[in-house]
Amino acid sequence: MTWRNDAGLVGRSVVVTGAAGGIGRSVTRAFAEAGAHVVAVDLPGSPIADVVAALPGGPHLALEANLLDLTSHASIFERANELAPFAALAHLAAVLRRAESIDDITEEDWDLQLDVNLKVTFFLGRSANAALRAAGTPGAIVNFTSQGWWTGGFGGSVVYNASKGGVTTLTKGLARSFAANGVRVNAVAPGGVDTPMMNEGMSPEALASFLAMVPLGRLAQTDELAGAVVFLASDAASFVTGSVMNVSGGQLMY
Amino acid sequence: MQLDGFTDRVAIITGGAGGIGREVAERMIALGARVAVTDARESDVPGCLNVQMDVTDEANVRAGVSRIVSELGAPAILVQAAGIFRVEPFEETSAASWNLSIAVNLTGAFHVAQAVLPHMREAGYGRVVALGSSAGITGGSKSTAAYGASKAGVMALTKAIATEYAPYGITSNALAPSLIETDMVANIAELVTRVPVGRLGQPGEVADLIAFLCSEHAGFITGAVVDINGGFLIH
Repeated sequence: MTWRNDAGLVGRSVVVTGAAGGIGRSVTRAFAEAGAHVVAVDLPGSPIADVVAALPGGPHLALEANLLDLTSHASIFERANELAPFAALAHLAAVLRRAESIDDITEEDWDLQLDVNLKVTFFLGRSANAALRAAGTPGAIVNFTSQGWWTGGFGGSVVYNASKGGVTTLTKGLARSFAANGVRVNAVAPGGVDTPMMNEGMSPEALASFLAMVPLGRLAQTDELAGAVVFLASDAASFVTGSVMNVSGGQLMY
Repeated sequence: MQLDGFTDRVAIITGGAGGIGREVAERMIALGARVAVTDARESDVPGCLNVQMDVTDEANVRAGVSRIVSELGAPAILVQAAGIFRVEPFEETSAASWNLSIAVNLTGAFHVAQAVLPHMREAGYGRVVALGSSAGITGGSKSTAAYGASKAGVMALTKAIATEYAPYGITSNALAPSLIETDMVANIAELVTRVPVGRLGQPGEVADLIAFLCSEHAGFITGAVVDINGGFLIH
């Protein structure tokens, strides 16, 4: 499926974080196919350069960065503006530490997931808004939450889900705060997606019982998340802000 | 916006003669779909089959859908945009007025879905999108009890269809728009100060979201209610 979207993305730059991950690769490709210049960000040592080398169009840019270093954020958007006028941030970077049980969760697990998933979302989003405000152009931020923001998850994943609850709340608050300078903020809430993050530590039995709860009866392919992200980032979604797009195959209906 | 999933597919847009429905019809024609517009009024939307159809009348709906199937083929896309909006203080809302809002907005969507879904089930593919409303969540900012209740019903109907028809490759979603500048909704300009983006929405913006949800790019989205309100209702 090729997404060709000329609604405010052609010739502008888009920052994608977590771009070397399962969903990140599809999102990065979809933006490139839509005619955007992509700044693809992932951790040092990740195959981010290979991801970017395979993209159509361009020029694009691969950036290695640890987003926990908050001082790195401003320069990401400066680099984006050097490539083309910055239009949108798709913030996918997140970490899931699925503990065996709730008793196994350590303070370090808590801190890492809250810092990467929630703290970074705030500071990176604020930095993206500052770059757009300085340029005087409208733009969009698309955050990634999880359907666990609503359910709370279970057992060893509750901390991850709490962090995603924070991301959802933050998305709503930033949407109100940034609307004044024309920046929309929305979130995508995936259910089960066929990625290494989903499948790691998941037994075939656990996966089967998970799928039994999904009306569509399958996991999402990563491309099926990319459509929602590109749509929300584009001008086609110009009246959509503060919203959470539920992409769960019907597992959750709220 | 170029979306996949429309070429040569048959799309039915109820309430398609004006407002949001007409914008949806125009987009889908441009995307290559074979489009049927139905409306209670006589309509003449260019480039599509215009069918006069009263969604409150089950026999009329069945006849209308049969005509679309015989002239265009089996529908793969259904957009439920037929609706009425009445502002009436609660105590002044007559039972007849209440019943009409429910008949058009909720029972009408039921009749149309019931006539269309068997065709989608047989084909193993379908996209159903219904116009809900933020009033179906909040009850509405004005005196719109019947409208709000009918739209809450539409959004629940949408989810029920999503669950029951998921095994057949059919997705069913609703939108919850608010403060869209159409003829149907008058006197809302005063509410603009409460919209974070500082303006009312345009029918074309809603049509873009509907087109996305009807595309192949939205294949894993079902049972969802998508807000489109410029930040007016963040919940």
